[in-house]
Amino acid sequence: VTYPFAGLEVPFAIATLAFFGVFLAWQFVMETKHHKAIIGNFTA
Amino acid sequence: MTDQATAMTTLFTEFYFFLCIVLMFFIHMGFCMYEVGVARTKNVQHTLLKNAMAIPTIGIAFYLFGMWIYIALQGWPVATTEVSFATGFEPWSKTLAPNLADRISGVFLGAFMLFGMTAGSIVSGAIIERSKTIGFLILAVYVGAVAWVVPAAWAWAGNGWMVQYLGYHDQYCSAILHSVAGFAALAILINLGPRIGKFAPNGEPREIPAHNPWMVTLGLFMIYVGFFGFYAACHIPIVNIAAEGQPAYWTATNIYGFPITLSGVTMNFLLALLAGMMTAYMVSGGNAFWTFSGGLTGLISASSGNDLYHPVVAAMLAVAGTIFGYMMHNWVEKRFKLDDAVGAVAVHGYCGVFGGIAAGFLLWGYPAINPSAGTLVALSEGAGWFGTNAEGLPIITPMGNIIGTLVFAIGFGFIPTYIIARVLKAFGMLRVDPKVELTGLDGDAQGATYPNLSGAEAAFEKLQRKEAKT
Repeated sequence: VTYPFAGLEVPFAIATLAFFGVFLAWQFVMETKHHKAIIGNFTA
Repeated sequence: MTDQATAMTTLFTEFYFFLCIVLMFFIHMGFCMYEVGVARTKNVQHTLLKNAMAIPTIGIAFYLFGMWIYIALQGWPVATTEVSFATGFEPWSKTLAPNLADRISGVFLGAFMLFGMTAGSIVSGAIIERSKTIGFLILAVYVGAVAWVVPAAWAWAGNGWMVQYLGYHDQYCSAILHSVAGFAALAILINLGPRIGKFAPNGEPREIPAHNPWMVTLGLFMIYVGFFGFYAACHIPIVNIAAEGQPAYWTATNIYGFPITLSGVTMNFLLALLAGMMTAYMVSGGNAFWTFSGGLTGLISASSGNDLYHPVVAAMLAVAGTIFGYMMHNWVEKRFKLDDAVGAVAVHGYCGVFGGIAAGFLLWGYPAINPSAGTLVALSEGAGWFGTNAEGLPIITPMGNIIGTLVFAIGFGFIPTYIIARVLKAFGMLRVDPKVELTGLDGDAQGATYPNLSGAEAAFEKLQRKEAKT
């Protein structure tokens, strides 16, 4: 023979892509929240 | 594998690329240190994580579609109009897993993935201290997994249509990767604007002090180390390049299947690096930041043809390219008020274009490819629009390299990145609010950067002593 879950490579690839999307969405939400907190505490 | 010679050749190639990947990771250690050193204390953690998160973001994107682009688009759209979805580099491919029938695809993809991360990281440094991480990561995916990859498919593979028809030659990616990333950075900077206070009311640029020059120095030295791996990864380390019916001839080759020696390449690498440092030291009047960046300007100015130059030619190219890059940086900064925090546009953009065009003149007449079964390079029908040699092989010409270099820097680096940056700007995803910039992008986490200086450590000591008494 030439890994486990052989035959399920495509679903795993889609899951990886979905995880990638979740990461970018998480980054957007958390960064927006972080910046709002800074602006709220801003002193000149 | 049933015979030892085949096994040794295969396993050596596998391990060679593996070591290149490890070495290239030094580029990212270097970029992280360099950028963090240049940033002010209030922006250290944001700068670090913005750059560090480009590594997995580009890496995953490159695995999912970047390498497929490189393999699938080599002939498209000139030599062929077909695009394959069975290249062996789709993300679900069996050849990328532990596979006893394929010991090379994984390490080959790994090396390319590190190239892509480098492209994205080049952009990162230019835009520190006022850019949003989400906007940068979206741009980094384009630059690291698409923008340089299409040019690489066309012009950085023996079967790429630009190599076959234009005779394009850019062995260590002066134009294909560096100029694309440099001009992408330029496009972002135009949309992003300078840091508050970078330019005086009379328009004179101000020096924004780096918070840790030692990190800048060590970071750039680490990038040098990583570029040894970058160069090595651009080779096929051992392959039989004999034509059919001829006696076997085993050698290392460049990416176009042309025989080269790692020994000669090492000399060219070192001479270009060293001459670049000396030149930058002189033209900048001993400025440490520019002196160390000069190693890279020298290297990138000679990289297109550093597989075939003589070391002293590489050195002189490094001198000329470094002067050109340094002067362009200062002129553009003053004339257009562009705030490039690390000189990325100059080091990679201007010097990348310089190197790509220079190779067309200096290597004029060299065969652009060396077809052989071993390297899987085959001559296309009608190859060599700008000339062929006596054997019918396309030759390297100034015209071919000028066209290719400008298409890459402007067509793939500048224009698409400008459009993406413009859209991100319209959605408020490119630049932070001025209040965030003035406070510092780390927000209330600033104290954790240097707790011994911020009072955070002393506050904990006080708490610890208080609790110890009770």
